[in-house]
Amino acid sequence: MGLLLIAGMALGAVLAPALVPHPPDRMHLDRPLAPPGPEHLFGTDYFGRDVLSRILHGGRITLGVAVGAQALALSLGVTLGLLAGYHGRWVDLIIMRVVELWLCFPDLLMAVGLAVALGPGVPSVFLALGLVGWPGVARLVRGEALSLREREFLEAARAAGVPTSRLLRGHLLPNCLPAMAVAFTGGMAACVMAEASLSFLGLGVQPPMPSWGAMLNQGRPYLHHAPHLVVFPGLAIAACVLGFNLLGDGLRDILDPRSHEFR
Amino acid sequence: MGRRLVVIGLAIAAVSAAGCGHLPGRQPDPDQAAGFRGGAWREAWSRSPASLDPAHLVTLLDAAAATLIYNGLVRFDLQGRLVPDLAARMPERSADGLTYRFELRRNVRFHNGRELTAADVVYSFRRVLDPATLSPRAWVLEPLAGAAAFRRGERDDLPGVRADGRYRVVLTLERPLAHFLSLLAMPAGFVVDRAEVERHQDPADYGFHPVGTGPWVLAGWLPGAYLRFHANLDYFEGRPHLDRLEYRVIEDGATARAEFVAGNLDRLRLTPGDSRRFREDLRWRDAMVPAMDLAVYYLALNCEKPPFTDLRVRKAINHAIDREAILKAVLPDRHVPANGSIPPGLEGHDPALAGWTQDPDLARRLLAEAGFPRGFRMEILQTASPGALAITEPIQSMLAQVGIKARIVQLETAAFFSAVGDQGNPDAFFISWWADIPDPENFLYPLFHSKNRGAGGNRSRFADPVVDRLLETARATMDRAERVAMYQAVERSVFRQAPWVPLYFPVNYSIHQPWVRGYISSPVATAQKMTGVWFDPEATPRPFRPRGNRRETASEDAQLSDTPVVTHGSHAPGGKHADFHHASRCPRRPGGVAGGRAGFSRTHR
Amino acid sequence: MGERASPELIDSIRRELGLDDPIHVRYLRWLGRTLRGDLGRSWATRRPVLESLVSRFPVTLRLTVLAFTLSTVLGVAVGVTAAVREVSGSGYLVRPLLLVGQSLPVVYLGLLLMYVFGVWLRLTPISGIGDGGLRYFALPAATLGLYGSVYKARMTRAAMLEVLRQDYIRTARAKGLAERVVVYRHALKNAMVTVVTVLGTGLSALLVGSVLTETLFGLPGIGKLQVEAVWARDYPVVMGCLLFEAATVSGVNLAMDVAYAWANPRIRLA
Repeated sequence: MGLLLIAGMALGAVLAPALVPHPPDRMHLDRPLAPPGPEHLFGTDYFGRDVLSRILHGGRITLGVAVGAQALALSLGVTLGLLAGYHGRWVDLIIMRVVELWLCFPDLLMAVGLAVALGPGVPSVFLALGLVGWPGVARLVRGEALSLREREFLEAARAAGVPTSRLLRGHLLPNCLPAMAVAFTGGMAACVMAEASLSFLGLGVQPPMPSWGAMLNQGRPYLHHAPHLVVFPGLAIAACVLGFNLLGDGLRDILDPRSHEFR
Repeated sequence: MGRRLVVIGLAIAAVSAAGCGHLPGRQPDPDQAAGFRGGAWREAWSRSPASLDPAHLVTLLDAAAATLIYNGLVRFDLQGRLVPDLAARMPERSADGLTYRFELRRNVRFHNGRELTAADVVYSFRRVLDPATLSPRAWVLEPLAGAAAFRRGERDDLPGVRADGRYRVVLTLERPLAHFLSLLAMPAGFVVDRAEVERHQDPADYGFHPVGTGPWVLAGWLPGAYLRFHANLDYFEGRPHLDRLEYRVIEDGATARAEFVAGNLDRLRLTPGDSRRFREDLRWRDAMVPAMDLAVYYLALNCEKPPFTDLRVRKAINHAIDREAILKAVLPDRHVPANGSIPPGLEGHDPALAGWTQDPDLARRLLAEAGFPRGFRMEILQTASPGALAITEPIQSMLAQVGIKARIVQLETAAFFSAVGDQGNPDAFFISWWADIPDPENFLYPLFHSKNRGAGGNRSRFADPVVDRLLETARATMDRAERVAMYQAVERSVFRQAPWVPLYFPVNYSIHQPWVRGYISSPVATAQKMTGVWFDPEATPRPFRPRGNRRETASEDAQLSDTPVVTHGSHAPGGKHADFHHASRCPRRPGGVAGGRAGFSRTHR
Repeated sequence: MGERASPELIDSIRRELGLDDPIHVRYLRWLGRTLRGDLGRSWATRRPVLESLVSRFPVTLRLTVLAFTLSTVLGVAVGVTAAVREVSGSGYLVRPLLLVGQSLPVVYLGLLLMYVFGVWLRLTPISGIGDGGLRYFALPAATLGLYGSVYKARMTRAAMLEVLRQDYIRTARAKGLAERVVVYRHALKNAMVTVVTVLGTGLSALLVGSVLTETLFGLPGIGKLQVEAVWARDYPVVMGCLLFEAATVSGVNLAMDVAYAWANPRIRLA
């Protein structure tokens, strides 16, 4: 179910240029705020831009930013988490203190701070969300690594003289993959939500780029007049987050039947 | 000095045929108004003022808040005329145009009861110029004799400002400056009480405990939430009609609109989306009030960068663009097309100034003559916003028709200003200019004097020695008609050389609750002192129904006229909803009914 | 600063604010001052940052305490019901509902409540702080509380399911204890130990939500201060707010750890 939703979204985003009925930035100034109809399935916005086309293209940006941010968060988090979990002792101590310190800052507020420092725009949203996400991943991966460290197959590999870097990459990492997959889906949902929140605060993706959060926020003044400007991007966000949450739950059930729903 | 602005309303009447005359009593009627005292005004501001210290006011909002509390020597009234404020009459000016003598009103008192004297004026002006104050508005008073050196800390005395006895102030200028009195009407010229300023150990604290002579006394200020004022009953021009003012800080436009339609705000500034919605709503359409700003939007061409150094190219760009078509589509009735830089209603605006008509053939010919028969490539810079894009995109496609391939570059605000400032070397950019005072000088001098090229204001880097000379002469010309004629000559001469594609003068709308009387919109931020506004206790609140129930309008309206009048203050938001709103202080219609019907009343259960 | 600020003035203001020094010098200076309890001054209002934080704190405290209470009560109730129903096989609707709830951005939940209760039904004030009365917190706290309750409901449900699978519950049932006693006396008590530990994590989310709700409903709390400062590029205030939030989160987490160790002797504070 979740997979279906996500697959649909991803497909829509990837194929957006081929699918869209109108170029997303094309303004039809003669028909602003048109309600949904045969010409514009989801209606048009204040500048007569086709909402459906913008949502499809917006998916590219929103999902792109989220995937990028998650990639950053995962690579940082996994590297540091593995190091901490495997080495233990002072490496673990230092990394985990940094993680704890980082986690003290509520994630979105940290992202707000970063977005302010970097100036609004796609790169700063991506960086902010990525930098905010890694400590959670690191903690998760460290836990996995800790439990794997003393297992026989690792002992054996270590005894056989496999170098640490290969040990980490070849043996530990694959065993952490299920946990990472779950973290990834949860992180994607959080990223999509955070992008919408950053947009609400005016720090998200800047116009005229159509990210879902930006569309939602720009549509808000017309809530009464043209509710389709809010409803459709809102639905896109909700569906996407729902999809990732479902996917995450499903993955967890498959990969780790004894899991809790705790982060 | 006399009249500065032809009544701004005239210009607006041209914009919006459906004016505001439908509501009885929309025009202020002082005799009638005299009977209705009381009530509390509620309005939304998008943020809190940063400070109410006249030396540290920068934005229009800060100025609008401070003008409630303070007075200057002179001020602009709601019709845009320069009138005496703390001065008993307009000052005498010496023959050489350098010395102004102000006779002060007697018995003007600060909110703390102390009488205002000439010494307070001297103190206030010195304070703004004092380098230790770090006032961003010191330039306003810099034309005073010795002020520039005093401000740099090179001298301790300020000969330009002098008290002559208890009630006379003498101001002397370095050199004649025709619009000097307009500068004095700016917030930097507000008079403060020295004792109140120096009472605070931390100089920043004064800005949060301001004390002036104005019609309103600051009664409460919770930053981020509200500012509350109560009427100064001893105001020298007589107490205001209203008892209180409450300005709530509501950043979110949707929230402010929700509050307004629920009857919790008396006035709402409309966003373009809002004005569309309210215009389509029969019940509200007539309550929309247009207002102009002292601003102009334009596409600037960099006159120092080829190919825009060539007049033929600049003309060709002007001829390529059909402004009216763009504006009609993008900003229907929120604009007046611009041919020059001075907005209509302001002295010096020349309705006869001819614009460039769209003529693609002529444009192509001009380009060919200039050596670009096949056009060229250029960049148009703008801040990242769909509103700006809606203007520049059609421009882009119109330029393409004559062979100019324009690329739109969107920048974040800070990056944009740096790119079009001294560091950058742009081709063209979409930008606006907002004047500080209603005077043509404040448009033409910063925008076109070669001394101000770059970040100084002349961002299109226009330079013409004849224009420079004329601008300097105009500044020193005291005769009004002569001066206006000079500015018109400047404008004609500038726009014949096409440094811009002038686009439009913005028109804004606000909407009032039906009981509001006497509110006149003014483009001058300091003009609205809220003394003439009053509430009509006979007015009926507009019912608010969610969209979709519009069909009920007719029958409801008919019912409404029979409904016993629901007075504004008697229950309404009442003591219940906004505690600020005490029923006892509000006008009550004799025998008025205390209860409202559900759906119409603004009573809150 | 206007277009007409003179270069000398800009210089003197930059000097006053210490903007001419390299970034690491400025950072060290900020750090030093902060450790002495001086958060600096706002660039916009020129007043001490600490003063603004202190004056805005009560609003945020009230909002979060109300929302925390609401979300905990609601979350635990829904979570327990969901778990019990799921075990008995009739609760498959609750889980998707929770998932959908979790997918709704908090701002839109707020807008929805604002229009329904404030504008249409007129039961509550729409926005603002008014006289500071509790009524003004009704909508923001409800928004934030509902938002937070989804997470807590999921936690509680998971914890309850976990506990209900345990052997001693089976034993209790086998002993013939009433189902109500089994669920509420035995299972809930044990599940709560787990739930309480995650309440702290929820606080961080609550603080984030408070920024959004305060901005939407115009409540002058710390979150709104931060957003105002962001817009004014008032960095000292932004830093002050972040510091405050971090301090709050770590303080509460510490308190939670201590409480947990006290409640559960098997855990030792490392």
